[in-house]
Amino acid sequence: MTAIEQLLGEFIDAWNAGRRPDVGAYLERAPAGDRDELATQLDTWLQIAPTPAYDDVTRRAIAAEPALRAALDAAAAMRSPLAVRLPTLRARAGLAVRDVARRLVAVFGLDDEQRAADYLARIERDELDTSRVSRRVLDALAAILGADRDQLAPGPPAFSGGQAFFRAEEDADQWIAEDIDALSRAALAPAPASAPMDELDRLFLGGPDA
Amino acid sequence: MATPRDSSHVARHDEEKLRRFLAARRAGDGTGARRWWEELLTDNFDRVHGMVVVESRLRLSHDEQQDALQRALIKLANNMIETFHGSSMGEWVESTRTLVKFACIDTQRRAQTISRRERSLDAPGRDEQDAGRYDADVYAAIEKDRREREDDEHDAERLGERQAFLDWAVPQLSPKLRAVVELDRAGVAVEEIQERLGVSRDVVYQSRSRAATQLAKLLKEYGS
Repeated sequence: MTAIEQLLGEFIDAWNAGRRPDVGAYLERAPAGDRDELATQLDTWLQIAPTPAYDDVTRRAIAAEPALRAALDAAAAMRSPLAVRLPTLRARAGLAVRDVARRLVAVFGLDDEQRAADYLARIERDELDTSRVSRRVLDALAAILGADRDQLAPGPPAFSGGQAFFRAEEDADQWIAEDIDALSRAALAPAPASAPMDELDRLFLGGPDA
Repeated sequence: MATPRDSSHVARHDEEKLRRFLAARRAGDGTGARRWWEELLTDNFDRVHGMVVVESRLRLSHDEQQDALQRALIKLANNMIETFHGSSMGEWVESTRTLVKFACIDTQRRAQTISRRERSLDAPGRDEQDAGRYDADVYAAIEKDRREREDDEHDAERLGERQAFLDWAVPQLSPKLRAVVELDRAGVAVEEIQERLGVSRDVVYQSRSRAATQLAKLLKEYGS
């Protein structure tokens, strides 16, 4: 029997018995000239192997694996709003809002650092709808903060609780009528003139494809 | 020493967790779906770790392998929980293998980009004032990566549409190899395989190795 046959056979026995064989250790045991072949065979086994029915002790040990815990914690953090994630990543990178703004405008060849800082501060205060922020900004922030793109994903929309539009107790007819009148006039009035959006505005307000 | 197992139990427990996950996700029960998904992830941690080791062993350093493992696990925990469209563990493992491959590629690209950036910053006359330009370089690399990733993910979605690999490949093995593979996949201990097939341990081990070689060839054919 060859070394590869022996090692693969032992690996499968250990796997199916729930003894958690270590792929790297088995590769180390193989003669150098046989490692590629053994790696191929182990890779194939990992793609067809059953999931072992681990005992409770083993399962607890796997659940406590630092890599697994860290990944699950990171995944949980990624489900929090960008307003929470951005300052955390910024602190990890040791950068102030202004530093990030300076580097962000440099990436896009712009120069309004103060306004970029204002936009970033609005994101961190959860005052900006992050679904409107361009993916290009999020990618640039990932580059600046040394983070993965996924860590800067805008995330699910923050749902606010339902709000009653009308809640009258007594004698409300008069002010409801006044409010409706005011709303009607506002709806019919032309929108106030506003400055056209420039490149920086588009990056923060123009939607994911801007 | 391996002990004989109830093979139906081994084959059933993960499919049951997957079924519960799918039912919870369908019902919009995010907490339940996440719970069953994390159970599957825990059960398959060693598989993912092993896949990262074999996929990256000639390309990544030990630290980079750890990074690739983290990347793969985070994507499994956070992305695949939503994007997985299969209904069997076979499909789950196939999708996971594809994800591991991309995680290793991501890690390698990132390591190369950082290395280029550090080399540039170390060059004479460079200082933090150049950071913006290097951010732009990293940003450009991320953009390029995203375009390539969109193509890769399209390919991965196509993978999910195909018949599960094993359903297609195992019938192509000889009866003896097929018997060993099927008993191994049912988690049957080697002593019981010897007894059921009337062969020695050496023959079981040799059959495993031959079957793995043939399946690896079929995997290449299947993936092309």
